[in-house]
Amino acid sequence: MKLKGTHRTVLFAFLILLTLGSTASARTTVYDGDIEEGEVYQLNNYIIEITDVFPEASTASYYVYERDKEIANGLLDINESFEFDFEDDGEVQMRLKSVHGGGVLPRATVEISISNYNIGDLYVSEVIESGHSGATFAGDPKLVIVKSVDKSEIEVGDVITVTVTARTTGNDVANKVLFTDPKQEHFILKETTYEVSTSIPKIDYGQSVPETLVYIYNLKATEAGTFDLRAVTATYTNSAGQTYQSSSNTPSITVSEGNKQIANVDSLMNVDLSSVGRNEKITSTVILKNTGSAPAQAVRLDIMVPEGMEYVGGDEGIETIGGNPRIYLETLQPNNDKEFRYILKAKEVGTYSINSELSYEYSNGVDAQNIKQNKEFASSRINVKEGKFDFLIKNPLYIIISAIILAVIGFQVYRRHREYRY
Amino acid sequence: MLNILVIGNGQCGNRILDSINRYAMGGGKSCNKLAKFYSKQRFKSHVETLAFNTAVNDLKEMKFTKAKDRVHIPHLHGVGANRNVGKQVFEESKEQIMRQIEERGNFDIAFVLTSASGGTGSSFTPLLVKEMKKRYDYPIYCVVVLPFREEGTLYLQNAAFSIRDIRQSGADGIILADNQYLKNIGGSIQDAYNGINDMIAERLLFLLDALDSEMMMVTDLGDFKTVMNGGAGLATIGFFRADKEMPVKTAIQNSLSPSGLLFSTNVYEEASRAMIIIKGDRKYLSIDDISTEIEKLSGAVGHVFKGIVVCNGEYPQILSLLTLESAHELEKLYHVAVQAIHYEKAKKQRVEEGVEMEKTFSQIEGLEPEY
Ligand SMILES: Nc1nc2c(ncn2[C@@H]2O[C@H](COP(=O)(O)OP(=O)(O)O)[C@@H](O)[C@H]2O)c(=O)[nH]1
Ligand SMILES: [Mg+2]
Repeated sequence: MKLKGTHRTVLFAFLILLTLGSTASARTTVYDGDIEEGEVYQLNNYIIEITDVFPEASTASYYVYERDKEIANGLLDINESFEFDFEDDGEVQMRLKSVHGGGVLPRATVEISISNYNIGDLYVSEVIESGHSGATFAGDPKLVIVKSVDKSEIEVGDVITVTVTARTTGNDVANKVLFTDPKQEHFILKETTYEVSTSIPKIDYGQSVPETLVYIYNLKATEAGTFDLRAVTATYTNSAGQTYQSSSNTPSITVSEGNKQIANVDSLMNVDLSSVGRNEKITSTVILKNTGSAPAQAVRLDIMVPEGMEYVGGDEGIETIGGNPRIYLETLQPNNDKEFRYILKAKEVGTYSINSELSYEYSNGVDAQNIKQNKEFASSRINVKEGKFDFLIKNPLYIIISAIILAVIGFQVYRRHREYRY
Repeated sequence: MLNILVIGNGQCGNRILDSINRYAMGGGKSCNKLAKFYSKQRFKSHVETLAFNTAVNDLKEMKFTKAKDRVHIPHLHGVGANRNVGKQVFEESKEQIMRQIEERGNFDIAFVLTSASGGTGSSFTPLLVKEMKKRYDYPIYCVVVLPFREEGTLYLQNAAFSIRDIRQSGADGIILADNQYLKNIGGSIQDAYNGINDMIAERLLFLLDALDSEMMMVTDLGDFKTVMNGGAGLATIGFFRADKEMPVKTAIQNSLSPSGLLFSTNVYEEASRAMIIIKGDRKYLSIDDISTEIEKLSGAVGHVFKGIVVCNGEYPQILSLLTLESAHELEKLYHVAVQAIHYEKAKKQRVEEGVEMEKTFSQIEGLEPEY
């Protein structure tokens, strides 16, 4: 906002007036009237007692107490006044305006005013006819908040139970108690077992009043180190509506680096032959092994069949995605292994190795998020040579001979198959 | 040429049998899955194999054993790990089983492979041996696999009772292999099983092969029987195959060391008779070395038979067969098993008396639901 010069001056003056008005360096009259002999005027915890009124002498004597403690006394002539220090920087002045006999009891007419004090803070300002003994004072409630933990030395991932209780000591009740427990860094809130309603209307004081349970909750440590738990704070008022604040202790927790669990899956891929002829088959064995301490989830191995080789088939549990075999395991427990076999056919002469990509995830038991892992593997080299029977293609006579041989082999295989099939 | 019958009962027995058949095809551990199409078992002797099981899936799993050698003994719900059910099923199917054996002709020796702790194998084996003993007079040896100790109380009790039953069945000897002892082969449970099965298969084949070979110092079926006769009817096998040049002395020691044995035993304390078969190229087979090493053993053990098979170009391989006078490890297993039996009994009683559930229900006695 941009202000023009004149406007700025006006605003400045206005602000000064406002300040003057509110800090009440101005004097405010709080009472202008009669007080009978023996009566008192109470201003918060202060008592002005008119002890004797002497109409003949036109004087009155007074005592001033803070609660029960006398802080001043004296005798005033008409139009005379006295001052005493009030709460904070305030000052109270009483002026004797006149004295009167003739009633049952003589009385004094006074004007009581206060300066340098926020009038809104006055919670009692009245004549108490029954005198000093009839005055009631607001006390200072002192709310003691205790934050306690069931363990103070733990490991990352462990859970502690935090209990917060409160009780009022001091000499007044605590009203409208509102607790705040700040979010705790280095920990995560696992579960809240108990939580007091937003504000407690009243907590009584005294030894016989049981503690008030404020919170019970569990925190899970996520980091190693020594940490002080944050203090629970409370705001409340005394019976006079004055606002107070307390905070709890801050228990210290030592969190040591526990064992985070890991899953460690490796893939071991072997081939039964390191050298094959073209058009021959190779059996490859894959062993997925979890050498870690946590179960691995969503374990997936994508086997990249090299150009020049062809996937023929494999164990159930191997699916093919776009011509490439894939092994998927929902979980692989620690110390477990799973073996799969599949068969490749060599189509082209060359040297190959079979690459594979492994991915899985696991929970380390501490962090909320699963940890994802990716690894790549390569098998040993496979050398594909000119096929044993490639020469056949060049000479048809061989084809006839080999057809006969094949038929004989076929028959033999069939016979053996029959013999061993159960 | 010897006629040898090898029977595998139950899942464990079946698997070891299949491993033997795979080894016999050549190629050992790494034998190709498809070998059965082009190769065949090459046993030195005439060997017949037979697998019995109530679980058809276990039989289906076998890959190197001919279909006609896999015999399914049907029982509606399998036998679980309940040996009583297993025994009953055997009795009901006895004729079917014995007919299979009868059809294979006569033999010089038979081996029966089984786990001690399952349901089928552990209950079939003693009854089968007893029945075979009634009908045939060839010696029968059982290869018995002990469970992992953590497999639970039922398996432990089964193991305890089945070993006793096998001893009482008239079997001529029990060769022990212990899953627990061999488990450090590692990997998944399946790998561990396969590894253990291969170890057993390799040793048995080596033994069969040796019994039917020309040996330099005599060791034949007769000696084998004598060794197996010694001790408490329990035996185990040690083995070592060198994969590089090595003095035969070291190879013998290795075969008797923990990593060579199938069952935890201190050879020098618990063995009562032994047979050491040494195979390899002539240049490794120094008679002096062999004699001193064997004397060391016989000093502690008793009689030690030795046999030497010359195989040109091969590194030394040693098989040691040991009968045991005592088996501390087995005693320990029985100790645990007895506790297991008491535990199971108490549990059963509690359940019968309904104690546990009574407690649960009594909590709401006299209460009404509140809505
Ligand atoms: N060494 C070995 N032990 C096995 C194998 N399969 C099962 N077992 C063990 O055998 C016991 C279970 O017996 P199993 O043979 O499965 O029971 P059955 O089929 O009812 O006779 C357990 O102690 C397993 O550890 C195997 O292939 N090799
Ligand atoms: Mg089984």
